[in-house]
Order: sequence, then structure tokens, then C-alpha cells
Amino acid sequence: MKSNTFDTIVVGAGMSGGWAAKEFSEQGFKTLLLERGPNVEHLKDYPTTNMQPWEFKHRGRLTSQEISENPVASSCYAFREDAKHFFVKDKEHPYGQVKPFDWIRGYQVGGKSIMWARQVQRWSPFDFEGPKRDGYAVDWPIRYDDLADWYTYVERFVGVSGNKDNLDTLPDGDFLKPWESNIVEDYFSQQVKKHYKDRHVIYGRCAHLTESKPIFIEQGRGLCMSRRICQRGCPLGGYFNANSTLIPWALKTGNLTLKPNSVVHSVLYDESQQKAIGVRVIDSETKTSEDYFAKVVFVTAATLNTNLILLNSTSRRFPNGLGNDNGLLGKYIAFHNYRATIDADYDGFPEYTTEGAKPTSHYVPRFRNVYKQETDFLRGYAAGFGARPFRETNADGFGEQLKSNLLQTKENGLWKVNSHMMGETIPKESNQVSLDKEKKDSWGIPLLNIDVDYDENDEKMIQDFFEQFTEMFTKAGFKNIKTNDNQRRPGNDIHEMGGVRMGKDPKTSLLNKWNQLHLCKNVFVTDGACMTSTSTQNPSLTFMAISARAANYAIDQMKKGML
Amino acid sequence: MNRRSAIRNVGFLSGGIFLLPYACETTPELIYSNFPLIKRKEQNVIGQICNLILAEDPVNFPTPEKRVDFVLTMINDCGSPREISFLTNGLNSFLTSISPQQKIDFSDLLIEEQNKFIGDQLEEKSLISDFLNLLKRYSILHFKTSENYLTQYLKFEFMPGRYLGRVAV
Ligand SMILES: Cc1cc2nc3c(=O)[nH]c(=O)nc-3n(C[C@H](O)[C@H](O)[C@H](O)COP(=O)(O)OP(=O)(O)OC[C@H]3O[C@@H](n4cnc5c(N)ncnc54)[C@H](O)[C@@H]3O)c2cc1C
Ligand code: SF4
Repeated sequence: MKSNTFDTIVVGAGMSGGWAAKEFSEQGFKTLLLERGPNVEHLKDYPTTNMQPWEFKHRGRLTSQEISENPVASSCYAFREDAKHFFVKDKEHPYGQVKPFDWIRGYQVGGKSIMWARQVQRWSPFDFEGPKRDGYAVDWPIRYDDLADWYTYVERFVGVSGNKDNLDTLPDGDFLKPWESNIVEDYFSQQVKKHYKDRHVIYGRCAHLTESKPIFIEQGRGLCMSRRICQRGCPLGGYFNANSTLIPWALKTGNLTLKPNSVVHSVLYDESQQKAIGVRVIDSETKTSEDYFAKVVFVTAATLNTNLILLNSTSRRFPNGLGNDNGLLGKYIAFHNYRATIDADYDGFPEYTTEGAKPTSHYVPRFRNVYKQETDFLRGYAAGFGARPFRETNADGFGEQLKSNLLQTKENGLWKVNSHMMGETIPKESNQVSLDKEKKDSWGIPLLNIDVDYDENDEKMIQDFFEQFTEMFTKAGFKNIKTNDNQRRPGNDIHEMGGVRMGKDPKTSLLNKWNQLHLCKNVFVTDGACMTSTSTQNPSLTFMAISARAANYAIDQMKKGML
Repeated sequence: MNRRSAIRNVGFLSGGIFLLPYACETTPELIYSNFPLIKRKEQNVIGQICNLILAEDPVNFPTPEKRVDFVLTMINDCGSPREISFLTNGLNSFLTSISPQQKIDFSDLLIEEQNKFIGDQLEEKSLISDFLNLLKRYSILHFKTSENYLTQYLKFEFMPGRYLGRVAV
């Protein structure tokens, strides 16, 4: 085999690409995994992972200069002193904001899986049926049943802590045991059950190891010790990221070539063969260009970069981007609406507190418009729910009096409760990305212009969340209820999806039910770009299940000589 | 100038002995990029004020750096333009209010005088109280992020390995 030729090429070493790379390498296919950023080796490249809070020069805060130089990156809650090195800095990788959009990125091996919040829920049948029932976007070419076994497959490798809740809106998975709930989380859950027959408050399923199993030992991962500083990378491998699991696993097979610092410029299309033959890569440091070849290409550079690469993959046959005869590439981008939050106090259970920590909170699955349309907006929202004992310290006075005040740290009997909305947004043609005709980045690739906004449906949903949660909090006896529209810009949810959507009809979609481009069957897209609609659940578990499913389909086809 | 007329705004006097100045150090001042050069002597005054507001306690609450260095670093690196103006304008007002011609230093005052001055000024609405409250906020942050405060008083554990949801207070 020529040194630049492989069986498969995977673009982007995050969790989506990591899954494809693992499947191919495990099954004996010579695989090239291209990543634009530097390598981040598990354990070795987590520089802050063992630092204590008092060892940080700014005790975790950003400097004013960092904030002013990074209005986008610093809008992400996890871009702080301890993990800022894993985020793309605004100046290094500019993009156009036709409307304000926070594009939060992590350019390195592992991608955003290093810093993510690890909340994972399966989609339900209602989610895949949504566009068809409610008449928006296009019908998904797959249903929950097509993905159910792949969810299980992924969960078993990743490790997901959760409860079997037996809800048709949120299918159960293959779970490791949950952490204990606190007394107010349980109380709210019971109150909601008492007052509403279709609403539930459950344990937030998360990608953490709460039990040991042979597969995790084989991966070299240990139990999560609840440090809750996962965004720095975990020396125990207690949470799932691509660096501790997928990538070393694939490397171990001897079939994976991992090439960091390799910016994929475009996918190469050969007109005579009517298929893709490889990719063009620019070395991020030397800026020299080189072509790599393979039978199959998986583009998993994360939603918007996948759109960018395909739009930039022009040829005589595809002058507007690979597979883009219908002109829909880059369109129907959607995201999650995270603008609404609600806080309150609860003075019940003053005799209880909590001890230790857990890296998750509670979750309220979607309850609006599930079985039928019942509001003046489409679809619905899920929500997080958290409750914590409030330890107030009194900072009055100065000198000895101040010190003695600060040393009185007992609980004052109050609990702080809060919830935040995670709303489904409706994919629309007008929410789109395109290539800038003039401006290019340092690697000669056109900048991406992002034109994405909220709409009236989102505004109505926010009001409904405020009303419904105020009612639920009031029924539970919570006090000082305060709602807040935090005005987050689209993208700040970090769940951007679409642009290369799946569908049944090549006229209205880009990908078929196996995530192949309708018009270029050996190119697969399995990250967020492929999503036809967004549902309300955190999306990454679904990206992984789709990636594993599509990779195994490709493997099957390659074995049969069809690809 | 006699001491009585020099100390204008302190509002009290005592005839006791003068304290030794907070620091007779000859080391050069640390330079902070975001505000005008604050001389070693002034940095010492700031350190002294921080210590009066909340004393450093290297035995029970050790910290990796001295309080004054932490406070000034935080204001310089992380402070908003408003906070930086509280520091520069407030320091100036503070020094001149003790002695308009700055012939007498804060450290020349007796400890009781210093305490009274700080206590009175913290309560006022003025440039000086903005300045003192700024030093107070960062001194508290320094104290509250010390290892012993976090572990002994806020029950911080680096690796708790457990979560108990129903613990009796
Ligand atoms: C703070 C935070 C919290 C989050 N919390 C959650 C959560 O709780 N639950 C959830 O489901 N999701 C969450 N997410 C989102 C989640 O991280 C992403 O959905 C997921 O990581 C996407 O994986 P990916 O592999 O598709 O993309 P990425 O992880 O972004 O990986 C894509 C990779 O492609 C590389 N790349 C890009 N362009 C090129 C190119 N031209 N050539 C070569 N390589 C390229 C990038 O450098 C990157 O490494 C969170 C994200 C963040 C940042
Ligand atoms: S919470 Fe668990 S997974 Fe996260 S850093 Fe701590 S030990 Fe690691």
C-alpha cells in the first residue's frame, strides 16, 4: 500500500470520528484519522488535571484580557483558567457572524469530548417521528428502532450512569448505577409526580464510570471519583472522552494512523470513477499540502466544519460543494435553545445536607406536545434540575470579626434550586452557513459565514418554560422564584446540528439512511451535520450511535466489494 | 509639620508610640501592567491594609503567595476598569486623607488608629471605601481559596469518591 493510501480516511478526531476510526481499525481496515489540532494524549497531556484550586494563579478566573480577546470562547462556562487551553481562541480561527453566533470549538485530538458536560440521553421514537408528524424539515429516513441496538453498543463501551426510568419519552439504556439523589431532588420528583401525570424528574444520565467492568479495565479506565473537574481531562479515565477510550483502542489494533496537525482542505472527487478518492490536507504548521487516498471517507469534523469542508470540496461535477446538486448543503442548521433559566429557594429539609460531590444533576424529559399538539408553538423542551444546600458565609466586618464570620460555615437550612431549559429549535432554510467569497484563514481555506437566529417558536417556548416551571416550583413550595432570559446567542448551547441532513429524497436531503451522500456514496457524514432535526436531548450519544452504525454498514459494504 | 495637624481626617489621636513601618524592605516594587507604577512603599501600605482587613495566617491558612501580591495580581489581571480605578484613585485618596502632604504614613499610626480609620472608612460611601472594599473582596477570595479553608471549612475534597444526598446537619 502506498504510504498515502488507506482503506478509510476519517476527518476529525472527536467522538464522532473516534467511533468510526475504532470500528474500522478493529475490523482490520487500514485507517487514517486526520485531526487539524495537536495531539492530546490521555494522561500525558492534561496539564492542569492534578492542580488544586489554590494552585491556580487566578483561582480559576480568566484575565480581563482573555475575556476581551475572546468574546466567543469566554461565553462558554467551561472556558476558565483550568481548561482554557483546550478551546479555540477567537483570533486564531475567525469566522463571519451574519447574525451573532457563538461557535465554541476544541481543535485537538479528542475534540470537544475533553471538555463536554457528559450528559447523555437516547432519543425516543417521538423525536425521529417529529418532523413528519409536525410537518417541518423532512422526514428522518431512520426511526428509533434502527438505532436502539447501536445506542446499547455505544453505552457499553462508553459507560453511562443512569436509572431505568421506564419512560416512553426517554428510552432506558444499558446503565451503570446512579449516584444517590439528594433529598430535595427526590422531593421535587415526588411533587411533580403528584401534580402531573405526564411529567417526570429523573436522575441525569451521564457518561461516567460508577462501576467497574472488564471492558473498562481493558480500556485502562478507573472509577469516577467525583472530582467534578472533568473539563481538564481525567487521570482516572472516570468519564468518557475520545482520548482515553476510542483513540488508544483503535491505535492498539495497529491499523490506525493518527495524524494530528492535519487540516483537511477538501474531499477529492474523481469524475471518471464518480466517487471520492481521498482528501487534500494542509499541514497546520508548515502549511504544505498533500493528498491522501482511500476507498471510503468519513467526514466528522463537527457540524459546522463538516459543512465547511463539503462546501469547499468543489469540482467540475459539484461546483457548489460535494453532493450539493439540490443547493441545500449548509442549510437547515438548528441548535438548542438554552436561554431560559429559573432559580428559587426552598426552606424544607433544613435538617439535611449533602456530602461529597457528583458530576451530574437531575433531568426533566420533554413533556410538551409529545402525544399531540397542545400549545401554540411546535415541539418542546427538556430541562435540567439541580438542588444544593446553601452555605452562606457572612463577610461583614473586618479584622478578627471578619475572620470569625468567615469561619462560621454551617448550612443555614436553605436549599437553592434551579432549572434550565433545553429547547428544540426548528430547522429552517434561512438558518444556514456559507463560504466567504473573499476572506480565507491562515491555511488558505475560505472562512465560514454563519447566519443563524432564534425565531418566534423559540420565544414562545421560553415563555412556556417560565410559566410551566414557575407553576411546578410553586406547587413544590419553592420560594423567591426568579425567571431569567439570559439572552445567550445561538451556538452557545454547543449543540449545533444540520446542514448535511439525512432524508429519504435526494431532492430534499444530502444523506441517505446510512449517512452516505446520496450523490457520492463513499463519503459518509455522521457527526451533528447529519441531523435532520434536533430533539431536546443532548445530542452526542446519538452522534456516536449513528457513527458506529454507519461505520459498520460501510465495513459490510466494503467486505462485499460494494464500496 | 506636627503630627496632630498632619493627620487631618483620622478624627482621633493617641499619644502612644509609633509602630514600626509595615516593611522597611528595600526590594524593588512588583510592576503591574494595567495600572500606574505603585511604589514599593505604597504596595506595602496596601499589604498592611489587606492584613488589617483580614490578617494573613501562614500557620493555619497558608497560601502559595503573599496576600498583597495576590490582591494586586488579581486586580491587575482580572479586575474590571472600574476596579482598577477604585485602586488607583482610592489609594491616592487614602494616602492624602491621612496626611494631605503625605508627610505621615499610614504605618506611622498606632494600630488602634489604623483600625479605627479602616473601620470608619469601610462604612462610608467614598473613593476610599470603594478602594478598601476592593481590597477586602480579594483578601477574602485569597483566604477562602486557601487549602485549609477549603478543606476544613468548606469540606472541599479533591477526590471525594462519593456523594451522600441525605446527611443530617
Ligand atoms: C463545555 C461543553 C459541554 C458540552 N456538554 C455536552 C453534554 O453534556 N452532552 C452532549 O451530548 N454534548 C455536549 N457538548 C457537545 C459535545 O461536546 C459535542 O456534541 C461532541 O463532542 C461532538 O463530537 P464531534 O466528534 O462531532 O466533534 P468535535 O469533538 O468537535 O471533534 C471534531 C474534530 O474535528 C477536527 N476538525 C475540524 N475541522 C477539521 C479539518 N478541516 N481537518 C481536520 N480536522 C478537523 C476538530 O479539531 C475536532 O477535533 C458539550 C460541548 C462543550 C464544549
Ligand atoms: S468527576 Fe470523575 S471523571 Fe470527572 S474528573 Fe472527577 S474523577 Fe474524573
